[in-house]
Amino acid sequence: MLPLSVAVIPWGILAGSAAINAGLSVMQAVGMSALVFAGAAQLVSLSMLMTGASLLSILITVFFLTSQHFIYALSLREEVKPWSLKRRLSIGFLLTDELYATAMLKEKPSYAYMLGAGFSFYVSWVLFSLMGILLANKVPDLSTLHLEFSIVVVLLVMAVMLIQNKAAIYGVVSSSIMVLILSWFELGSAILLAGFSGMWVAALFDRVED
Amino acid sequence: MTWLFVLSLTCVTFFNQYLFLEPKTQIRLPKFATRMLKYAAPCLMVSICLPLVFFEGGHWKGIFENSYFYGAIFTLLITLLTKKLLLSILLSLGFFYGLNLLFDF
Repeated sequence: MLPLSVAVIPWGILAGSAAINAGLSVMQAVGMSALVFAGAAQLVSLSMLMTGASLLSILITVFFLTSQHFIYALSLREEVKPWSLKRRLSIGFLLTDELYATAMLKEKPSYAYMLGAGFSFYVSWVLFSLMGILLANKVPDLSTLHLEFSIVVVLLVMAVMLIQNKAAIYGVVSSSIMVLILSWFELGSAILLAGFSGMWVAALFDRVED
Repeated sequence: MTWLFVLSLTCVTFFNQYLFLEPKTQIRLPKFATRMLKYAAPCLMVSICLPLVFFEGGHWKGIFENSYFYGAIFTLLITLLTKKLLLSILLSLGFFYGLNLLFDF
């Protein structure tokens, strides 16, 4: 889980500085990273806020943008079901792309494993957001540093490592094509729709392979 | 107003994260759906990262004049070749930043 915490660093810095650039106070910017704890949702909502979008349209966009968590939660559901409410709530709060990927690397992720991984992501997220917040006034344009490439690398490496059979290859290729087409038309739910279509294609081939 | 923005975002993301972790949320998944879930992680991951490679603020970044494209190709190849998580991440980041330094994209 350590390499993944490292990957959180540039995103945290970006999210922190973006919050200040969007006009949030230091307390609000810290609060946003500590409470929302979702990189893509924070960056998208802040850029919408800057362009003057309404609160409702921001919330709807974020709802679809983070709807991949439905799928994460569904795949973890059987493990999480017998846990106490407190444990379920804490893992719910800590559930991110990175935590899901980390959990998927284990056959049967335990609560301690998920809490440890989730909490280490959370701590580095808040700390490096804070760094971005403090840097925001000093470094004028963090976007020229290409910080977001690190998330591309981590997700791409993990996606490749998670491909176990032919069906998964077909699924990933379908998702890739779909997400580029849908992003071209600037659909808010491009990620979800593309992910879903790839899963559908993979499941079709999975049945053929049986 | 800004606090309302922060807190309502918190509610939306937490709702999405927790909804299906709650056992009382009634769902009966057909067999095909559980088969689809097996492939959720890799499909969603490429769907999240490819727009970052090819788009910036809704604008197409191109292919051959786009350092993210070369970086992603390198990442793909090095992962297939080494099958090692941390090594692939480090080499890919090194390649990408080296490329940007050398060719000034």
